[in-house]
Amino acid sequence: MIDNFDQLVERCNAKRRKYMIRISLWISGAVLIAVAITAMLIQWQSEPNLSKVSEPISPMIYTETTKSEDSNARQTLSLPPQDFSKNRAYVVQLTSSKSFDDVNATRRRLPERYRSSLAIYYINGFYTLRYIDIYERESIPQIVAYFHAAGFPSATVYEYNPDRIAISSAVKPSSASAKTKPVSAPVQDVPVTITLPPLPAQSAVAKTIPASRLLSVHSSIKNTTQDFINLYNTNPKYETALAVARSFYTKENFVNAAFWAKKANQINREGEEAWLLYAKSTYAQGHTADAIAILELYLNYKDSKAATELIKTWR
Amino acid sequence: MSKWLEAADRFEERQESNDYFEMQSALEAIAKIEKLLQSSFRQLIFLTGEPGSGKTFLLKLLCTRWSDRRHIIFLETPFMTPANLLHQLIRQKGSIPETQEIEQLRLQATELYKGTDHLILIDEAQLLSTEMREFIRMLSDTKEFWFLLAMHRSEGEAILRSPHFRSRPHRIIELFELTPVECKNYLHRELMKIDYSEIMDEFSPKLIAEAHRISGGNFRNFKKLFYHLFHLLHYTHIHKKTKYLRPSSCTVTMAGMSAELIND
Repeated sequence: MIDNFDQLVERCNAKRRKYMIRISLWISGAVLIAVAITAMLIQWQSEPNLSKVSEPISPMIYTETTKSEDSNARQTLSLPPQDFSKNRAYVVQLTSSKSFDDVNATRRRLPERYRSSLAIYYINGFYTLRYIDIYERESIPQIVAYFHAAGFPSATVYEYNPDRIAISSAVKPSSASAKTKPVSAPVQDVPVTITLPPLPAQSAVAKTIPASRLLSVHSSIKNTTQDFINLYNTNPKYETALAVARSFYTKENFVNAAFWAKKANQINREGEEAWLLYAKSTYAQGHTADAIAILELYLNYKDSKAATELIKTWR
Repeated sequence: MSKWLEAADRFEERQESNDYFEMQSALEAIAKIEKLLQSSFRQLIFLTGEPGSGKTFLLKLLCTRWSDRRHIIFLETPFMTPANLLHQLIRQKGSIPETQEIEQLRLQATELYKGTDHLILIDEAQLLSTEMREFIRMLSDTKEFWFLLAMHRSEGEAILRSPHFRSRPHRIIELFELTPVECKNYLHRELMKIDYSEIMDEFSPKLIAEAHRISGGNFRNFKKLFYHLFHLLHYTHIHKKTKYLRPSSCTVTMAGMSAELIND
């Protein structure tokens, strides 16, 4: 009856081998699929769905949009897409700090899809975070609005300067290399004129100022304070308002000095002395943090050695 | 004769009705046929099932079981003409066909079977010619005959879809495959008959399930598989093939290959 036993054994073994190979393939396939699904899930959880690109990601922006019932407003809370066919024209400076880690942490706080457009520069001893993918002037308001909503009220716009060399965003520079990080010769950024945010409101409460907090303000104006005020009332000018502020500062009337420095600033947002005087008056009233915040706001808008030095001194 | 050969002999293909294993679907079929025969409305009954599902066995069982209570006419070969059929039916009643005229024969047969308890069984009815199928349908339309036609499922379904049968009253009774439990019970019963039930312990539920899978639950294939398995075990004992002395997944697979139930 059984006359092909050896052949049967061979066939049986071959069948078993095939079965084992099939099982192995199934298991390998299942493992691969599981890994792929897991990777997709992880990616999906870490990065929002790009199809909902107009949806805000960060909690702060989310709060903003949920408050708004206007769908058009929601649309503005996103950034224009990257377009590598065009040249970068402008940048938005978001924040700066002496600590690379702080700046890098801020960068990471922003949605991942925008991170490739965020660069860190080493400028005047500060690590500075900038959004660099702006190609047209028309898109600036949308971008600035986005970053205001994202918690960067002092976001300021400069012309893009290709001479600036960004620090690798992922790698913290060593302390030795950090100092030499600018690499290129000193580079000046060209600010773009946009409406700056108003200066913070000043407390009206006058205080007794300790002598140590007094800083010298050089004034070449010989007129009395009231003369300058009268002159300002008839012809309001930056220089006049600034002269009044200087006068009050000299008289250690820091509340009025701050008031007039702010007036001068309202006339000319770019006047450095008004910013410095406003910060000094605030500092003299004992509001160190506020004073530093004013100067940082100014530094976000414009590089200033004097402002940087003051911050160094006050810290 | 070794025990393995004796076991193999139990699973050799044979058509003895006393060996019939009453699986659940067969018991249900018998009950349904019996219930139909009790009604006064005489109609065609079709018994369908895959080849090897036990249709012929069931027909033979009915012949044995019901021969004392009704006249059973079992036509094993479906190759016949209407005249042959009528001659056989008339002779089965102990009469002689009075004429060669089909219509006269039909009337004679109808007269003989009218009001009698009978059942005409036709095996392999899928092989009936179209003319014969039509003739049987016409006889059934007289409401004087009980026909039970056993046929393969696939061909039977095609025949029953034809307009002649679809529009006529008929009943279809299906025979289904063995379940794994029925396979085990059948194996046990057969081994008990040769006092070899102790090897049932070597047939684990997993092994029975594998045998069921290889045989497709088909009664004939299941018998064939075990016929080859026991022959294989006999061979391995004779030739001292120590790795293959007992029933196992490997020996069952080899038996399936030997029985040509498994393709490589």
